[in-house]
Formats: sequence, structure tokens, C-alpha cells
Amino acid sequence: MSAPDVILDVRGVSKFYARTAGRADSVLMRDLPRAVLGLSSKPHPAGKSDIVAVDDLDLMIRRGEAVGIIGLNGSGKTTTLRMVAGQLRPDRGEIVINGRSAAIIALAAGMEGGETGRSNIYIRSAMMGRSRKDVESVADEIIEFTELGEAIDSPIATYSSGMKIRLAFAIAIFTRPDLLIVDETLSVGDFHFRQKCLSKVRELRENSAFLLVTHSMGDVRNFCDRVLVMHRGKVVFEGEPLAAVEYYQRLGEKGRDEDAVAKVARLRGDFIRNDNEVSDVEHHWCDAQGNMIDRLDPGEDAYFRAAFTLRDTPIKPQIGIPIWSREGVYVTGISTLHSDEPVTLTAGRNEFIIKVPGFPLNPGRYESNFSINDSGAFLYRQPNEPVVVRSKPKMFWGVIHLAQQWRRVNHD
Amino acid sequence: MVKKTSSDKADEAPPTLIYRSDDRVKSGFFRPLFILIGQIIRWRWHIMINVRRDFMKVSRGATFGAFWNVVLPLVPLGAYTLLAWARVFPEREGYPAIVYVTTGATLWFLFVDCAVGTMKSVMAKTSMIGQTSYPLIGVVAGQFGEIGFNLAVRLCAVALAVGLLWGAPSWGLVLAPLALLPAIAFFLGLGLVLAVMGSASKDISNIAGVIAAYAIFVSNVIFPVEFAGPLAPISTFNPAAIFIDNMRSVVFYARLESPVSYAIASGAGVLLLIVGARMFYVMEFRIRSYKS
Repeated sequence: MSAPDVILDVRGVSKFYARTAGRADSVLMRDLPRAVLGLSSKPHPAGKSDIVAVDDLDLMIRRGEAVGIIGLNGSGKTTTLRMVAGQLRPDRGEIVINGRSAAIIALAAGMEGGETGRSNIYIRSAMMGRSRKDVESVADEIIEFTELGEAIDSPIATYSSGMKIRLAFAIAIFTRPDLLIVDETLSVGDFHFRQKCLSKVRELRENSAFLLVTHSMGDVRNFCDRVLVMHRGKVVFEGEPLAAVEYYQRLGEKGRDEDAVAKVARLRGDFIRNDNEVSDVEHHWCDAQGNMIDRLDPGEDAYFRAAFTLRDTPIKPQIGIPIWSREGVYVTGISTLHSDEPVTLTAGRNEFIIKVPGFPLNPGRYESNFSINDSGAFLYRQPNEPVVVRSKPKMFWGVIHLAQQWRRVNHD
Repeated sequence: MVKKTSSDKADEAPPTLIYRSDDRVKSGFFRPLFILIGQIIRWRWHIMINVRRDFMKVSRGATFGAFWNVVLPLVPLGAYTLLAWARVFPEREGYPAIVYVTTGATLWFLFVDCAVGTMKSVMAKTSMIGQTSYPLIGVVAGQFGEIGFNLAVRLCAVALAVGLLWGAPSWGLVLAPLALLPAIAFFLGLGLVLAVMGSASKDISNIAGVIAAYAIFVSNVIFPVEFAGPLAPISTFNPAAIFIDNMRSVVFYARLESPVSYAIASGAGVLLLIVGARMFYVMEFRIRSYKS
């Protein structure tokens, strides 16, 4: 049993989604007889066919507390909110809510576009369990809070997103819920209205609890007492807002790095080594003397050394060095096709130094492959050691620096 | 502190709500039906708005507007009436063919709308309401606006046919709505069962559609089943045939044609509604999770 001041108690909650329609049908068919006969369904096994949206979540919110949930897209924030709002049931664990709750999750949910704002106050309030008489007593306050003026008697289909959120928020807040659940819809409102909402929420804090999902780090810092960071369905951090935001930002960078690494790996393709055809292969970024390097200054001449032994003379050979940025952007490629003079490869030892005058890539880390193919068939494709273009005080934009000359053509 | 699970009073604002995977499974046998009725009452405004919207959808953009709302339900009825007038169907002693067909077809369409219409509306609208708190039973209740309107239009046509070819019906007419309730319970219950099963298997929804298309010939709708040759014995076990026959005899002769069969079918109807309501209630969140 929860302590009396605990408004929301989420215990070991997990939620799974089927990855395919076939899986969804089979789970429904499996659960149907047991559910009808009054038998509890077996714990849903999360296999390869399932997506684990929320994994073993624990969360407790007491009266007067405002808790935020932040996380990257797909981390399970909205599924958590939808379960707390009663729109979905958990597959494992339980959610206990001590008191009346109100949720603002999807902007249009529970609002009737063809009806006026005024009608929607009654419709949505009825949905939250309030009697007509009860709503009548606060309808004027709600309308005043929304600042919609005469628009309150227009169909809400004509409202902007900001106007809709004003109305939805006002209706929810004036039901005086014990638990207010707010998805990131709040960020739709303009600055003035958001301040007004936050001020109203502060008024209610003594008697209510708040669960807020947002991407606005400002709202998290200013409003929440405690913040959960979710990642891939799990709570990976819980604590003070500032620390949570910092953790989230690191997670975001790490996530971006992981995504970029995966993207580059995908773009690079499979690595190939045909030892019968090509042997004793050496390839690396180097200085003018052929010594291996891993760093360059922006605009500096860059060199690449390649040496290998071919068993046979290839018919239609091509050497390529595709280059990707750290973020997985395919920047450019160096190829024998672009050589000013024809490049020939012969059976036996071949050695090249390729010069790239004024290496034009901006500061950053670059990944590349070295490949040899004959008539389109790869004989060899392996990664090079990454090369880093050092930072310099000048500002730069994007990946490539274009050489440029400025000349003023008018003189007053 | 009063502790209630979400299945107890889902539609009030209970002091404590508990959401669990199986919180509806232990909700008992009869209670789900009353909880679903409570949900309909709570969401009545939304349901009425959806009824109005569905009604307007038929006539939106049409030059003749609401004319189509009236005409379209009469089209299938008119087709069977025309065939009855042309004496295509064998006649039942004691009933003019057109009166027999119009009453039978009106009741048949009502039953099919309750069963197959319920299944189709749930399957079509689950994904739409998946992101909201709107209960699935609201979708079912919402379609009864259209069903009721279509029934009213067809009853006007029946009244005209009866007035012209029969005269005044018996005093049993006043009991007809009461006698119809078990039939509606039966087919609504069947519709709820089909809605759940159809959500899990497209085959079931297709099979239900096929059965509905052919069952009209063995349900005393357009001709008596005794003329259906080897299929005639089906009428003994076909609740649609039992309800339609007994409804006719109540309206025109103020008596039940086969009281025992009617009583058994009525009992089955009430039972099926309770079972269907339970299945629907228990499975709602699974359907919402997997179909939205």
C-alpha cells in the first residue's frame, strides 16, 4: 500500500509492442481464451518479435512534487505517460494512482473539432468525470484563463495549435486534479501563455503532483523537482534537474556518436581481402615523405601512401579512397579515375603517393576506405586509420572549406 | 482509503486506481456489461457528436443532401420488395408476400448491422482512437445512431406496405419493441464477440461477412425456410429465423409462433450479450495496444 501522500506509484512496469502485424494477431489469439475464462495471461515474453517500449520502470511521485521525464526519441516517455493516463495497460507491473488525474497528451485527443471551444469545455470535462453543474461553476474561469475571447464560440477546428493547447490545459487544470500528466504539448504555447501555465501549476503544487514529459530543458530546470532520464525503455538516471539535463545531453551526444558510427560502418560496406590476388598491402595517410600521420592542419597538403603486390596485371583497375565525416556524411572520394595521368597497375609490386593539395576538409575526424577493384570486382577493400583535421581559430561551417577570394568592386 | 481497481468503476474518479495487465480479467461475469453501459453514459457527448458526424458524412458534398440518408437504407429493402411483388419468392400462408419480405428484411438488416456492423466499426476505428482515452465501446454505441435511423426509415416503408396490403396490425404491435430486445441482445453480443475475434484474425471477419451474405436465405427473411430444401432444418437452430418468425406473429397475430424456441433464443441472447461484453471489456486494452 502506498503512503498517503504518494499520488503516483509505478512499480516494475514494462510494456511491449509487437514488431509485426502477424505477431500482434498471434498474441491476441493466445490471450483471448485465457482472458475470457478469467485466467491471468502468462507474463508476456519479450522476444525478437517484440519491441520493449518500457522496461521495468519504477517511479513514485508525492503530492506537491513535479517530476520530469526526458529522453531521446523512442526512449519510452510517451508510452509511460499513456500508461499512467490509463490509455494503455502495462504488460508487467502495476500503476497506482491515489486520486483524480488529468492528462494532456495528444493535443487533439478528447477535443471535437467541429464543436466550439465552449462546447468542448463541457465535453472534455464530462469525459474527466465532472458533472455539467460542476463545469458550469468554473466555465467562466476556464474561458478567462484561455484568453481566447470571442474565439471561444468558434469551432476549434479553426484554432491554431497554441489556442488548442490553451483550451486543453485550462480544462485540465480547472478539474483540480491530484495528478496532472502533461506531454510535450505544452511547448506549443507561446511564451506568455507558458509562463501563465507554469504560474498556475505552481499555485496547484501544494495539493497536486505533476508528471511532465518534455524536450524543453528550460522547463525541466525551472519547473521539475526531480527528473528521470529514459533510454531504450529504461530509467538510466534519476536525480536533480541540472544533473539530469547534463546526463541527457551526454546521452544525446553518445547516441549521435553511436548512430554515426553505425552509419559509417554501413556505408563502408563489407571489408574484402583477396590474398591470392593482392598481398603485402600498406595504405595510410602520410606526409610528403610517406611517413604515416593521423593529423593534418586545415588547408595543408595531404598525402596518401598505398603499396601492394598484385599476382596478375589487372584488366581495368581502379583504386578508390572514399571519405566519410564522423557524422556519417559521405564527403568525397579520391580515385584513379580523377588522376591527371593514366594510372597503371601491373603484376608485382606497385607503390603510389597520392597528393591532395590544400586538403579542403574542415576540422573534424574523417574515416576512409582503401579499395582496389578490377573491372568492378573488389580485390581489396579495408579501412584506413582515421585522420583528424585539427581545429583552428577561424570559424568554419559544414564539412568543406571552399577557397575564396573577396574583392570589393564599388568605391564610394 | 477505499481501494478499487480500474475495472471496478472505470468511469468515476475513484480514490485509488490500479492499472495492471490483468486488472480486467477478474472483473466477474456480469459486471463488465454494466461497466460498459457506464462508459457509454460518461462519453455520451462524444458519442452523440460522432453519430452526428457519421450521419452528415453520407450527405456531405451531395446535391440532394439528407435525401441520401433516407434513400440508401431503402435500396436493399426495395430490391427484395420488388422480387416479392414479381412473385419470385414462395409465399407463406397468412402473409402477403410484400409484407412478409419487408418485415423480414427490416429485421434482418437490423440484426446484421448489430453483429457484423459492430465488428466492422471496431476493426475500422481502433487505430483512430488508439491515441485517445475514448473507449472502444463508444465506437459500438456510436454506430447505433445510424442503425436506429436506418431502422426508422425502413419501418416507415414497412408501415406503408402493411397499411396498403394488410390493414391495421394486431395489438401485439405494442409488445414488439419488448419482444425485439432479446434479439438485439443476441446480435449485439455476437457482434462484440466477432469484434474481438476479428481484431485477432482477419479470417474471422471475412467468414462472418460471408455467412451474413448467405444466411438471409435460411432465416425466414424473404421466404419461409421450409422452401429451402435440404437447408430447411437449419431454421430450427437459427436464432435469426426464430426471432424473425416470432416477431412477425407478435405484430400481426399478437402471439408467439414458437414460444419455446423464442424463450431459448432469448436466453441465449442475454447470455451471449453478457459473454460478449465480458470478452470485449477484458480484451479492450490488448486490442488497443496491438491494433493502434
